[in-house]
Amino acid sequence: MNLSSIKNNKFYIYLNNLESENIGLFSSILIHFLILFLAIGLPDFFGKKSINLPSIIPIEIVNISEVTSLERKDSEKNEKKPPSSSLNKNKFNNSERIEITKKEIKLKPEITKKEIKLKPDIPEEKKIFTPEKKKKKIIEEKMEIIPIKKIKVKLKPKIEKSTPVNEKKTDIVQKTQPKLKPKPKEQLNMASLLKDLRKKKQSIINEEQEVEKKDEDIAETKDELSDENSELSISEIDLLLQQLSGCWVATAGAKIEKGMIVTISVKLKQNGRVYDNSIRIIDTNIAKSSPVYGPITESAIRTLLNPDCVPLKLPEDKYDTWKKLTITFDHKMMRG
Amino acid sequence: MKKFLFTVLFIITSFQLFSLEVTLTQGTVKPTPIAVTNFFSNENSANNIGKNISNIISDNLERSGLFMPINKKAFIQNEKSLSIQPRFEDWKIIKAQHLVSGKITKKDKKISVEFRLYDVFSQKQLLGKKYETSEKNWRRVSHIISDAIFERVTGEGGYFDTRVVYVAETGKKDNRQKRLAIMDQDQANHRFLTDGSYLVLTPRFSPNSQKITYMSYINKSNPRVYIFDIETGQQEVVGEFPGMTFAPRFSPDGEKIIMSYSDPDIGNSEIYILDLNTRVSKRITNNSAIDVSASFSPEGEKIVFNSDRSGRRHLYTMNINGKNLKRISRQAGSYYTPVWSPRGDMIAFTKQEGGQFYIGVMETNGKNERMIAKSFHVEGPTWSPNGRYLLYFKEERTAEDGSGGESSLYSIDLTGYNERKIITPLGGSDPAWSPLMH
Repeated sequence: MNLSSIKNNKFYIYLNNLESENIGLFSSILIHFLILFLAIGLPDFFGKKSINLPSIIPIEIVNISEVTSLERKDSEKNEKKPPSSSLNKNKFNNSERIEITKKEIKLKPEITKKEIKLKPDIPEEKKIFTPEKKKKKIIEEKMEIIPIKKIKVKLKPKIEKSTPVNEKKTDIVQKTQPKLKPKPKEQLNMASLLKDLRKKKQSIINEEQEVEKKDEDIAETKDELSDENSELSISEIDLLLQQLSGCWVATAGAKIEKGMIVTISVKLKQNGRVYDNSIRIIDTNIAKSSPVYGPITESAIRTLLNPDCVPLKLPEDKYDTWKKLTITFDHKMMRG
Repeated sequence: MKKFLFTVLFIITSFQLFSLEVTLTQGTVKPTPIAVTNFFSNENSANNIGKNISNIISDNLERSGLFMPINKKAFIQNEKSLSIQPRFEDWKIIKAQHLVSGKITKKDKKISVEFRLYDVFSQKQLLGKKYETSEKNWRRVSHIISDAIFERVTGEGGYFDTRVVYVAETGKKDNRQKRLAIMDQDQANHRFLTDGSYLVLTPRFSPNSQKITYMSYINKSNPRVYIFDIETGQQEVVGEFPGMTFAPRFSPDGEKIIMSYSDPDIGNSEIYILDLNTRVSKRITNNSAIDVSASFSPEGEKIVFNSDRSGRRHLYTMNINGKNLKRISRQAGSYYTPVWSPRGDMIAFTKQEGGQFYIGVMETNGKNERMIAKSFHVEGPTWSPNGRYLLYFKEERTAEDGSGGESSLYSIDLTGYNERKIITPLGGSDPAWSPLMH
């Protein structure tokens, strides 16, 4: 497009010929656009695309046999051989197998039965021992509890007992002193949970070092946050982090690798509650094909839906600073 | 005009920047609260099955140490109404994070069991499956459902639909009867496989769980490695060796057996791999030290074993062709019975140090050695198929009058917590965990 073609453009000509009586009309259109933008918002062209969790579970039908997990190559070979006449007839398992058909069910589907021909049943075996009662005994045995380690938090805000945090309208920093007793929740990192019976002393030292490290991390995070979100005070952010940490239940048993990160964004109401369907996964370095993708991303989403985190403890008067919240769940200290 | 447009753009951009960003590095580690309801059925005869299935799932998940089943008395919504539609608010009140509901329909002697797993907080279904089988297979269906739930919630493979083979022990220590026994991982369906007329040691499952290889004293003067077929009850000697063969294990493809052979002429033990198809054996270690207790890596390309070639018993890894030998244990003490994890990332072992025995784990390069169980005598770790749990046996001290000295099986989480005694009808030692059966 050359300059002459731009000059011949009707809109360009109109702008050039714009007279004072038309400015009102032009301004009115612009203001209307502005109001629309403010109400709806601009699409985030430069942000990372949100990742939606698949809600539909793929259908798979798997045949499960009673006695085997792999194709029996050796049995195929045995088939070629004539059966031994001296087989012991006191079989533990009959070779006749029972097949169980497994069928995925979608949400609220009309379940259609699929009959699969079952092979003859295994003859009922004589019970020698019924361990049900004894099994209950095991369950009643006291489970060893993972030791709970409190995290020292620097610059903790002291909150007056009678004043609920949500009702505070003034700046918390001015009112508070760094002496908030955090709720004794089981906050700890998984790496420190790995037991080593010989290294108790050493692990105590390590724990102390880790606590110091955590303190530094928290302080660093606070510094960063205080720079980035000057509208919220350190103690307000600290309070939010404590609340979220208590609600983030690490994925049970998942094999978490260092450096796994999930970032989610959420739109919040002024009362600290989450807008319906507003939680989005905006970034993660976990491959979708990984078996822990679902559990870890779901665990992050559950954090914001956890009743203990509803509503979030954020100052209502600073709603503009937190109406959109982005949380990065960094698993560097959460190893399973 | 330009100023006006600039102001508009500035306002819009500022609006977009109103976003709070935080990073969480700490969370809560605790068992996940889960509500497992009785499986609903319109027929009274199937209601009991529904209760039993629910109880087994609940017990399985609880035993894993990763779930905390909620007491059924606390449930607000009943099974019938749940089978139509869950009221998530009712489950949020009792702080359930996950909800399991199910339904059973019965036709003749066949049952159809369907279950659904819900995420209570996000109010969505995570999993739904249906199984059709014979009525008396309800216990196995319960284990399969437990595996499905475990896998969906944790992202790791399940381990409930598995069996354990072990050596059942009875009698005084100097005259102990040892029999092969097998049971489900939850101790149900216990059976003895041998009659106790001869000693058996170190049973190990084949990858398809249908065969067991073990060392037996059927021939008292010359103990050998045998293979026992669970289906047929038949057993056969592995290989033609003039001396003693022991400590056998199947390769991951089930085509080979690795074991130690003590040559009566030389006197020391070396490691051999025997091809079960061709019956040809290959010696893979060759030195004057005692090399025993070999175990394959999950890919079958490497082995770990213990040897006293350095003066003390230590763990070594090498390729199955005998090359790339590396000593991986570096600390004090003696190391025995190494077993490669099915995940491939860890090696479990027995260690003796300072008058104590330990069950330990380390990375495959020997780093991050941790002791997770300790006693007067603990030995013989075996991995669950998902590589998360270990079984081993613990022996009590024998009293001066010869009493005591009983052995029992124990399970423990890889983290070193959730140690539980496995109840068996007799004493137990040398456990081996089967792969998943589905």
